[in-house]
Amino acid sequence: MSEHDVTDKAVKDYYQEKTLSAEKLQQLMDVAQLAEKKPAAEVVNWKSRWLIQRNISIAASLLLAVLILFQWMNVAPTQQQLVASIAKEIAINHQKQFASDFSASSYAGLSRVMTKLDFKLTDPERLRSKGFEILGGRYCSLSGHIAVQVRLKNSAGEIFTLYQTNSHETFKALTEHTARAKGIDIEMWNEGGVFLGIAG
Amino acid sequence: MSESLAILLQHGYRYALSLAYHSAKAEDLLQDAWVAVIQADGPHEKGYLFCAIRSRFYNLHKRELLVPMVPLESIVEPAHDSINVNYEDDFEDPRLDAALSQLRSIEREVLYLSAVEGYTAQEITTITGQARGTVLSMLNRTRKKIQCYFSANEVKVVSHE
Repeated sequence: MSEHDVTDKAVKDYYQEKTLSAEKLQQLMDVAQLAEKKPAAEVVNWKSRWLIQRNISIAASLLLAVLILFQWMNVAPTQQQLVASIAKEIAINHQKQFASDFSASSYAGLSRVMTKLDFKLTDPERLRSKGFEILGGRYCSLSGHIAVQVRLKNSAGEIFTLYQTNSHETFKALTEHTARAKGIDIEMWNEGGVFLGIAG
Repeated sequence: MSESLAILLQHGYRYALSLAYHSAKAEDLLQDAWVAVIQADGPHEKGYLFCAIRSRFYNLHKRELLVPMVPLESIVEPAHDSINVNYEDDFEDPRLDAALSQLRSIEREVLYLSAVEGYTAQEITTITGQARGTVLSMLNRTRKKIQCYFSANEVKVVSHE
């Protein structure tokens, strides 16, 4: 017998003598028996409970996703909805026919007195040929952004209102649109970084 | 059934003892592992139980490294001196017991798996995650350590006489 074998035998004998106390052994065996006595249904219940929980989680996630989608759809309206909404706002402003707060006969003149704007008033190209006379202007808002309402009169004496605001993200997509709101025809377009709308 | 269960638990206890060295710690390890096996509806097999014991031992060991703890047995309480437990008294062979106490837990584990459970180096490799060469050299060194301890102890006894 080699030295290693002798050591191994001594170690084996040493550990073989070590036993779990009868009390502890019984305690651990009772744990196993208790688990065995549990009806099979309980195990199934545990598994089915897990399945139910999983399904509830999936359903809740889907519901949340749908809600977020609806929310997103509400927050980000389609272009048509945006056009309709701005047209309605312009029409309401036009109908009120508020008096101008600033008198000027040119866009440059208005620009000099209306200093709170975050954009430069523009002399719209598409209106130049129509011979509008500028009566004056006032501050207003469009979709929550600061804007200018310019009162115009054509050669027939009809009053138009022109709206100008900085071409924010909201308006950038609206290249050219016509709409009718509250019985008023409205034209909208973008020109030189300014969003414009005319009602009359 | 109950007899095979008892044998399995005794094996688990000895394996836990080889890792933890102290009988009370070994009992706690075995109990934790056994409850986990039952709760997981795991098989009542030696390999599975050993694996559960081992992972608990090393988790506890890591925790002890992170959070320094003072063993309860090292705290002397004058009023309860009479109930202090000396674990070393549990062991019948003081020389081997002392030699085993000098070993690292991995060395005791590898030696136990080889000498008591009769596992091959390859099987021990699978259980401990050590390389086969490491297991073989560790076995060799551990045996030598025990033999050296035995020889040194004999010399000491002779010189006293």
